[in-house]
Amino acid sequence: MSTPPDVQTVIEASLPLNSMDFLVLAVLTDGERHGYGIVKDITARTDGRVKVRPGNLYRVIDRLMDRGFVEVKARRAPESSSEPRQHYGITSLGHKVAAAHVALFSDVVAASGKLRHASRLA
Amino acid sequence: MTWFHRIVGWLLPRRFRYRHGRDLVELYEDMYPTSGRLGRVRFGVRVVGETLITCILARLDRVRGWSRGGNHNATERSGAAKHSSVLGGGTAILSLWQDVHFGFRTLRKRPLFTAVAVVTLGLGIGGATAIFSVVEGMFFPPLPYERPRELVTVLESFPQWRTNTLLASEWDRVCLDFPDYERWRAGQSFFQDVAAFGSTSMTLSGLGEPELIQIGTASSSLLHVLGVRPSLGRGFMPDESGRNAVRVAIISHTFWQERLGEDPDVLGKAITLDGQAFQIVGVLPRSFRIRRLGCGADPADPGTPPVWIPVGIVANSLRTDYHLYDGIGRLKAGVTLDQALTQTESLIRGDRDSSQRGASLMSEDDRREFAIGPYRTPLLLLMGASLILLVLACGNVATLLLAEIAVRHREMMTRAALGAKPFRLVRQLLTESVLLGIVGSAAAILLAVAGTRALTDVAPPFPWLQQVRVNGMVLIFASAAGVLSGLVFGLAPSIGLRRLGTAISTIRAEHKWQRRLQSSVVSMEIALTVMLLVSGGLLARSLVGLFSVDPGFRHENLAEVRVLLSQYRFVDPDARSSVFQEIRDAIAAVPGVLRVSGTSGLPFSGSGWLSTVRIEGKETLGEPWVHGREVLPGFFDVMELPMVSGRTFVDADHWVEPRANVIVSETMAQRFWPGEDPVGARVRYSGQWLTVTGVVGDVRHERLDSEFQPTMYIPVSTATASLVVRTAVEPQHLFPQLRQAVSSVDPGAPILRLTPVSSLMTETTAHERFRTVILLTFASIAVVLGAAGVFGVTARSVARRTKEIGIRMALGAKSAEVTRNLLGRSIRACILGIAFGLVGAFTASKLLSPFLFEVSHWDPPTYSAVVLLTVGVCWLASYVPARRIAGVNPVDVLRAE
Repeated sequence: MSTPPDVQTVIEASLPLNSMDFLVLAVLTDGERHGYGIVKDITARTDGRVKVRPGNLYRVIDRLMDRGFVEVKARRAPESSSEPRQHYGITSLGHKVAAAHVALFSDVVAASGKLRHASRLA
Repeated sequence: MTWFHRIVGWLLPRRFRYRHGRDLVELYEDMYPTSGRLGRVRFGVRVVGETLITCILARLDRVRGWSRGGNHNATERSGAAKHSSVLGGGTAILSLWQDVHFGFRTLRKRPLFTAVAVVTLGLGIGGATAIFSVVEGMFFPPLPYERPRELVTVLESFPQWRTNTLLASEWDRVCLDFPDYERWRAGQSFFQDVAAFGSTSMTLSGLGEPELIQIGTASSSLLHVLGVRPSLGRGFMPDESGRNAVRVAIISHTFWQERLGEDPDVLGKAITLDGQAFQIVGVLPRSFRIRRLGCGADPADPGTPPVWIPVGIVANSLRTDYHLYDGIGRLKAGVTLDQALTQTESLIRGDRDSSQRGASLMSEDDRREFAIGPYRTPLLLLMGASLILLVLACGNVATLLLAEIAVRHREMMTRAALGAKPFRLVRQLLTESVLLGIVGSAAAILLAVAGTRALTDVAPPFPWLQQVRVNGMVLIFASAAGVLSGLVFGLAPSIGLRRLGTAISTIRAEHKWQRRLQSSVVSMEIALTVMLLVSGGLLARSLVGLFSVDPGFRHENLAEVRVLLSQYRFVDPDARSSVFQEIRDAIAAVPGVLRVSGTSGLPFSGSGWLSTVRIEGKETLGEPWVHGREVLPGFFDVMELPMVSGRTFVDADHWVEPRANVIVSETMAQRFWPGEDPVGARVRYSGQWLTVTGVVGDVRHERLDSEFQPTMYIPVSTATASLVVRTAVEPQHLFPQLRQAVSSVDPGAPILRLTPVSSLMTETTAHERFRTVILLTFASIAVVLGAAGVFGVTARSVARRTKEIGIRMALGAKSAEVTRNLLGRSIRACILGIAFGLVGAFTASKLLSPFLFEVSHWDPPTYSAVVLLTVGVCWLASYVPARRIAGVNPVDVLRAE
């Protein structure tokens, strides 16, 4: 299936993602999460190196929603609590952007590896 | 967490709140720590901080247009995003400009309100800043050294002095003698470098009239220890000071500027001190200052001698037991004061006993305490007063704004009806408050500059007073307080407005709490005003009391002439005495001079000495301390001191057998010979028995509020410290002739002092006068501000009730009744304020007690006068606006409605 050109433009215009945007998208790739779930996941995946401020998290989510990368899912109770919480999920556009971001960075990493190798030989 | 909901709800942009407000709160709830009170408190602080940051960032996001759009059309979106970021920012600036423009227009349209607010802010902020700057500049001047905390002052301590009543205060602040300093310098290992410095005075000649100036003496290492570089030339070389000292000099920046005309080729030239040439090798930087702590140093000494010479030049200055120097050292990194103390002590003590000699090390904090200590309470009082002033100003701005908003209720309603969004209206009000704050702060800056100048003029002759400038930080703080109070109170009425959204019909121009707030602010203002007035009044009364004190002699038409006959010019004491005698005769010959005499210690002149005596037949008294004064013939006549019993000195007492007889003061007679006549009794002084020939009236020596001290007068005929001249006219008129008389005898003799004794007396009250002037200035400003507050309350109530009053008067109410009715609220606020103020003043004046002279801190006349004054001012301030409305034609009022 060919990608419509406008979606491609959106993806290109959005790259590179800033690190917080990417982390949120990456977490949501594994499935829907509520706010606290996202915070916990990011903390776990980065070994606690990235601290998420709640206010900032919602600014990021707000931004991602505006761009159509994240959407609001049902309000339901998470496993850890009986209180219902707003859940967020990633859209297909969000998936593509995250993948494109990963691809871009793999290229960058590969390129810099080559560069490093070259300089060592020299 | 309902409070949190509210904060979030109120601060976040609407769209963000709508989308995520609830989730955000829930997330915080999920993260809320379940145990540990400290953790919860920390979490709460974090939440508040983060929320504030989020609110700002979310609003910025919106301005930048990030959160606009939200559609999936990429081309349109990215383009739109770029556009909206430009456009969004642009519109924001445009509408801000509109607000500013409109704000200026509304302020201009209401000149009275604007003027009162600006003057209030100006007086409050400017006044507070001026006083704070002066006090701060006087007491906390910045130190011009590198890392002053490393600098340690080293002095000796004489433990045996501790038990001596007169010396006890000095026991741990004895200067080093040079051998002790050298031993310390050679043996120490905890300091990077050490130095010694002292001071002396020498006659400067060759630059105008000869003059006695303060001279600093320094070891060659001083500048290095302090980390100071001369602004011209160099410091002293190691081989220029100490035992092989050479005549070189470093001059202060001020001296270079004022006495040498900033001569760029000054290095290598010579100045003459005590008749000898000193070659100038360096000029100190302008800020150079070093304070002495030892040798009974005066905390008020600025430590800025005009000329520095190496130690070792002045005779005897290197000998053992000539304790002349403050030691100063720069600690090595990581060395504690205690370590340094132990080593220094053992070095300085040498082989002496620990009960005889020790060391005392003083840190930067000790140095500061030494300078500020004696002034702490007045300092705190002044700073407290300036804070009160600032609070008053802020309170006033608040009441004014509250009143204004009530008045503009109709305008706000109209604008809301025409479609203005509540947020826009709020922003407009805020813009106006901020504008007012800015204009007020500008007025404050002018006032602070002028006020600082005026205060330094009336301040007592204090060190580094000339360097006092308006303190920028204080000004910023005070202005921020003013603007912020405007903002807060500009915002307060808008809270109601905002919550109600566009439901105009329910906008209430006035909430009850606003009115209450305004009344309480006014009451508080009046209370503070009463406190300041009572404090100022008590100080003023005490000052008046001080001036009416009888010093014991007639101080009118009396002058002190102090001539320096320096020992380097008169090696022979007889020659010195004869020149002194000639000067005395020349002065006596000046027309208008009635009598001349001399003494070693004229009252209020700051000289004189204390010594121990023994009283014959009164061995139980031990060796009491008394004031000793040498006097020349005719002293008691010149001073017009009454003889109480016995006889005065005759010429033979002075010339034939000086220091054989003594006249004692009344207090001395009563203390040592109670109920007896001391005439004929004998006093042992300085190894000699003196016979009492008479008793003379008491005089006050140092200050008008000091007690009479036991004093003895010893007849001499040699040169004394000062000549005292009784004149037929105001002594100032004779000063040129007196100068002429001195220089006709000895053109090289510097006149150290030529001044009326009454000004010496006044000078001793300089601190009292300064305190009083400042507090009275504060009180006057407070009265003005308080009056403005009362005016504001009444004017507001008048504006609110114009319609009602119109109807009442149309129905036949008398204007007097209406006025009375209108005055009710302000009068209530005044009475409440006065009551609280009296309680506060009673408490505050207890702090003042140590500064009050013969006035109780609960002085009924002062309190009554203050109450009367305050009632009068309150009445006037509320009567004027009330009267104005009562005087209008009811028909006009109703027609206008």
